Amino acid sequence: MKKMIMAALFGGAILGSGFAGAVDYEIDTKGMHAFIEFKIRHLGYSWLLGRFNRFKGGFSYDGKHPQKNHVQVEIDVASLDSNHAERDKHLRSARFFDVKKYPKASFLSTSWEDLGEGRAILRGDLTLRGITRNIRIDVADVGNGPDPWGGYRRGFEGHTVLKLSDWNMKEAKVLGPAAEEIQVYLSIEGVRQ
Amino acid sequence: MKWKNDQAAWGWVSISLHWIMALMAIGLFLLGKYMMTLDYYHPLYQRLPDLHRSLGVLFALLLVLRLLWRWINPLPVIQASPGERVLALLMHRLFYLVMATIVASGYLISTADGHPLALYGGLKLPALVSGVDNLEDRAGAVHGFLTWLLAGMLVLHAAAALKHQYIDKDHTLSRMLGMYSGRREK
Repeated sequence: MKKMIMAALFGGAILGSGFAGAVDYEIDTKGMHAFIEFKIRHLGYSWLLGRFNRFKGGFSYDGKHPQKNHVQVEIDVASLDSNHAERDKHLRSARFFDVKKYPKASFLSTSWEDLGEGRAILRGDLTLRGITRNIRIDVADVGNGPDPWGGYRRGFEGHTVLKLSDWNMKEAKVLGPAAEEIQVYLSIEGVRQ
Repeated sequence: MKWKNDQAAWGWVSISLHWIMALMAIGLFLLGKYMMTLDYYHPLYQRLPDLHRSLGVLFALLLVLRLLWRWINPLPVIQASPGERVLALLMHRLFYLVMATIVASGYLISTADGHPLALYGGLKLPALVSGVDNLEDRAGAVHGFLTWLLAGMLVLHAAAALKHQYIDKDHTLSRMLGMYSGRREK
């Protein structure tokens, strides 16, 4: 019974917010309730984790017409942080991200396919190292509602797997066969504008 | 040979510091450039940077010692025209400044994230500056540029020493080799 009431309440909240049509959200990078994290296998024996500390963007969310949802994010690639200064320097160099030449990466969504139950497939053009490729991000709804400070927030998490060779990282090969792919985890909270 | 400098000649402490640091600077330069070309799976990929860091810190300590020694010792007379003397003194100061900046920037590359610099023997040098955006990249650019500058200065320095020794015949090189005490004044 309790479960049903909860479900009804949540369902109502989602429907209610959808009622207004498309709503614009700004990703909360001021309060830093958004994260772009990655992990890649080290030698095949463990995971190496890192993140991008600086980025900005927003999304438009339409509860009734989810196919109209769109997302744009711009990432300051030099903000890469794997908690090891020498490695970060190496990763920013021309051998990997080449941030001097390509300081920005961007993501611009091209489609949002709603799968129901709060799941969706977000496709978009990721431009990294000057190369633009359409990627697929598996998105899950995390929650939404009023915040305690008079605003309204909505959050998603996303997951995607990228192949380093797709972005022409010359040195990616030397990381070995276990590290050809990088997993990216996104946790995004938007503040309604 | 005396261990302290006098008006005419370098003492053996100055001479040793000069040549040891010269060899170390060349070694560190070659080591630094070579280690950056290594493949991730190369067996020395971790060892050479470890060696470079430890030698670099040793070089920094020697540099401090050298500056102190220079400070508390007389400077042997520079046998040159007044113009050349000023040039020589400026060059020496530039050498010290560039060497100090190279070791400082090298240290910053490794400690930019706030992690201590690990040395041989389990020694750790604490990180003093951190939290500066992309400090490791900036420090790296300075480090890389100045090592090439130092290499250029070294070539000039060696050429000048040879010129003084063989063309001006003023014993500049023999003096730094400890083979000329200055007693046989002409």
